[in-house]
Amino acid sequence: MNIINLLAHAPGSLDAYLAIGALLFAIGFFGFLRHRTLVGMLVSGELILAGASLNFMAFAHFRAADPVVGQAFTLFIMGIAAAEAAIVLSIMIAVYRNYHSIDARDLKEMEG
Amino acid sequence: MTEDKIQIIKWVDGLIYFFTILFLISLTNSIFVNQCGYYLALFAIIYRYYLTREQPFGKTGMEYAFLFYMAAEILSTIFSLEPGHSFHNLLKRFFLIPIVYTFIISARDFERAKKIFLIYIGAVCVTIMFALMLANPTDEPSMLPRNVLIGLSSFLVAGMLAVGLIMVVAKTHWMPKAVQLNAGTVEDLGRALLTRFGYAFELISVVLLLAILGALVVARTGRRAQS
Repeated sequence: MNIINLLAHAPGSLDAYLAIGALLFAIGFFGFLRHRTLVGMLVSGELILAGASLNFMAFAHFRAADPVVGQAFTLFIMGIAAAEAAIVLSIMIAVYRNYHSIDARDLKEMEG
Repeated sequence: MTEDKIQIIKWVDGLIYFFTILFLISLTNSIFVNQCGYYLALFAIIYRYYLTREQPFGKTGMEYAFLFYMAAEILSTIFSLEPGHSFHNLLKRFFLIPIVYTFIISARDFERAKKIFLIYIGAVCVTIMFALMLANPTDEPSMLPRNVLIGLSSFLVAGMLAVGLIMVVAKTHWMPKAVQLNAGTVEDLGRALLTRFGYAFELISVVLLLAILGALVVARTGRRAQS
């Protein structure tokens, strides 16, 4: 009930944004655990980053003196995420070349 | 109780202790000696009871746990797919439950308890090492497909995480709202990016460039070897 109240009665409040950020994070986490392929894990990782970015934006907009800081920080997170995606995609290509699969559970040689 | 009887009981106590230690020491190397130690200790305990007629155990509630465990074991044996195999293992576990009581009787004073504990820890460590060395992991077929299990468990974990986070959000009182210096428009953002955050902005571009170069290097390696 708490959650429904939170989302229904305070559409423009900090709590609603934080709740959506938490949901995004949890969905990303679920996808990260659930997906077998590296592409799926990459997309889920991006969702997790989106959840974190939303938190930055919300706090900066509703609480900080300068809302621009949160927005700039989110832009930087996007830049880092782009770099990460490029690296992960290249790793995927290398993995596919060696294993002929991008299923994360096939990468047995990397197990400890 | 006569002098002789007390002497015999002391002797039986020592025997129980000795067999328990034998059982612990041979835990990792000899099944035969191990079983001998365990069952002889059990017989010695029964003999001690015959001599003294004293019941050394109080009611702790553990009995119910054991009873539940045994009931579950018996039920699973009845409905098992391989009754013979299952019955064999049931008997084994049935005989292993008194192990707790054997330890309690043989570790009566503190010195003995300490020794048994030390030997037990050593034996467990060695067993774990052996198990790790000899383990031959094979994928045993389970009732539920692995995918469903992983999906369910990850859904549970993620759901708990979401609910927990949202409850924290709902219960926390955040700091009061500050007086805002600007409205956070695109114009403000652009100005900030090119003045205050200029250095970080340039650094991000360098990071991106390096990432692209690194990606190229990683993706190109091994390309020629394949063709």
